[in-house]
Amino acid sequence: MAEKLKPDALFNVDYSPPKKGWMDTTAIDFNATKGNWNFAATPESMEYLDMPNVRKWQPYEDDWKLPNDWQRILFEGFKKRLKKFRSLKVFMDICVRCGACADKCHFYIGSGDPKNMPVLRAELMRSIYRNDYTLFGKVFGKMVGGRKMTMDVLKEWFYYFYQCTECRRCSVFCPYGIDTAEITMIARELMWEIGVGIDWINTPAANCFRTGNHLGIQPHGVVDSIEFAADEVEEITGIMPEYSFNRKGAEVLFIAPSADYFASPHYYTLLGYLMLFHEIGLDYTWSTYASEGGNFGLFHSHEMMKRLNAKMYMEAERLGVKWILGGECGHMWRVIHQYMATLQKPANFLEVPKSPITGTVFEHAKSTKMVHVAEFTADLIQHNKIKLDPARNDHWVPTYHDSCNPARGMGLLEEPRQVIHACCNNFHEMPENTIREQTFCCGSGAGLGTEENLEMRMRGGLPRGSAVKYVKDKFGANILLCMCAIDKATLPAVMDFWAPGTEVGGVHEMVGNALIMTGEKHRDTDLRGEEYPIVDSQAHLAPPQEEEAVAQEDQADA
Amino acid sequence: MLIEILREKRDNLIKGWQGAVRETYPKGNRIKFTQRPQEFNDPIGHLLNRDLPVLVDLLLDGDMDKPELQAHLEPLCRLRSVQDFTPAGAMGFVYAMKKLVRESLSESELNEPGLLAELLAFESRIDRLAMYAFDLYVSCREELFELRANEARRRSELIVQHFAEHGKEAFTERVDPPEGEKPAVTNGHEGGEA
Repeated sequence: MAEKLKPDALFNVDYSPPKKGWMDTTAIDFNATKGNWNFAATPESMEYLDMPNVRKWQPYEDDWKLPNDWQRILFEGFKKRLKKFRSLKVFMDICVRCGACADKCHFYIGSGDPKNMPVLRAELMRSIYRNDYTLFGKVFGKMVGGRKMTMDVLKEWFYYFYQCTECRRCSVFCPYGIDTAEITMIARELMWEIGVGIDWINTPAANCFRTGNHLGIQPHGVVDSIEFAADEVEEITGIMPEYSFNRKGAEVLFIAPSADYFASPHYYTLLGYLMLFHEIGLDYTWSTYASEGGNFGLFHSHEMMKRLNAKMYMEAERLGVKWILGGECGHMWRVIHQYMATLQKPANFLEVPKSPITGTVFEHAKSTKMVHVAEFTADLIQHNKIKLDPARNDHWVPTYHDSCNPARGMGLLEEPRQVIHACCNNFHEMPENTIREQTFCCGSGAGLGTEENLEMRMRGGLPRGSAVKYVKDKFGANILLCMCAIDKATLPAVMDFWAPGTEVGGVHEMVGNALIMTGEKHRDTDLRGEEYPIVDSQAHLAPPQEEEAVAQEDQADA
Repeated sequence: MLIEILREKRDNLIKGWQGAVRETYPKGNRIKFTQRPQEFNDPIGHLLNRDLPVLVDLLLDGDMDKPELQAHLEPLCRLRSVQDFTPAGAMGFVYAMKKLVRESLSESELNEPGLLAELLAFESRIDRLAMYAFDLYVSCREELFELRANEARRRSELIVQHFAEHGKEAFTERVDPPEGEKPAVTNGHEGGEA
């Protein structure tokens, strides 16, 4: 050897990332980060909703085709909102950057990207606020954490404010009670003013505005799918459930998320609703117009939220129902519970919801007149009004994912658990810091549940996935129950990736399985067509045909 | 001889390797990572604490065909396959071990006769580990593409099934029921394109 070897000379590579502060932002490279963002809104859907700056564009293009004075539009829009929403101004001023929220965000936990810390995500907006609206910021600029709105900053806004599912887990831990989700909401709303937003929010909102639901199902499509589902209930139970559409004078208007009509595994929950309502003889109607509980307006702008929420109440008024019962939906409940009172007037033309079966008056829904189906069912169970055989769900070992909006948005923590306990024998909870008000988001809410955004969704779904894997390994959990249509649509992929072998289902699917219906036939399968466990509650019913045939054959042989 | 030297430095190797993986994440993360990692609140820290020590031991033992090896390598590869890395950036952490091993040898140790050969042999184990990691990474990426396809399928599964069972008419051509039984679709929204 000519020279002596030195350790450093062998392998001298610098692994450390660029040493730059977060404020010196470089433009997000949308080509290099495919899988982490969503496609832009289409001109058709933007036109339909009278949005400004309608054009064809995509985030990866160099030219976003913004109006010439886009900075002024954002400045004016921000100013208007600071004046209109006192909460926004407080949230902008009050944060002390203690970092309590930092490691609470599922996107941050899964990605390790500091700009996914809720505090820093909000800081993307606060830095503009300081620069433009505070005296210190105007004078000292960057020294006091202010920065100018530039194209690079706008790209960062688009990238990171569409990496927040508005789940509000961070807000639970904020000592000041800052609702970081509302900061995201305002940022998105501002970006829409210059025509910057994503298609998976805008097209469903446009669909909902046109046909009454996000999927754009027309009235006869809604009728078809409910009829189809009713036929299926008859096939399984031998009972044709009663249902009606747009029936004036019905006592209750039932509104489910539209994914329940078609998508899997939502559909089994739909079967559960039909069976339950038939069994208790509820005087209710579906609507082909208010055929959507979800409200993608929440992810869009205040104006859109209001426009979409109004439809349910207009329909309730038109049909002359007494109150509204809502299905297993997530963000609809956030809108109803938290925003409707100030966004719209209280629904005084309706009556305070009162269960016709148990007589319970749902006082908490005095203003909105809308009751969640889990509350309604839990009340039925509490009063022993339905017969359930939990053994019929013995083939399932369920665990429960508190969907963010019903859990944190309206405090619906006990009711679904009561229902599940009554319907299942093998229920197991996930670890404490991943459920109830600390529940982890599915990682795909707030309009981010698209295929093009899959990598980001998997990062966001990691904490939920690992918690499910924990109960799967420990107790053999094989189904994750939840109460939100977005969860049901997006958690299957999260489960396939992080906790393979776990199915996703709805709470009322379990109700449907366990429900003993008056006059039912011997049920061979559950709502998914899976073989039913052999249970005592079926003992009095005719045995399955195969056994009959075998018995006859035996007789013939004899 | 090399293995003995490295065994003595096992803890430093583990620590150094964990540090090298942490370095691949952007600045600003360190606060979180220095805290006691929890399984659900800090999966990255949790995996580093759980899996890297086992991998170091397996490397030192030299049994590169043990099923444990894949079991402890997989979670980290799976996580990094969805994070913001290029393929090289995601898998480069394995090679960081080479640097650590070389650095952990003093100049005199390095120039002992025979050690260089042992070092090369040990580095081949690391290469082997890297190849396993790459396989796992690619299979996770493939899974992602499958998930994309499955999700699209799930969204329309029941419609397709409905078509198969009831024919296309079930959705497109509605036969009106006899007068009097007509469903009360009265909101004027029947028309229009979906």
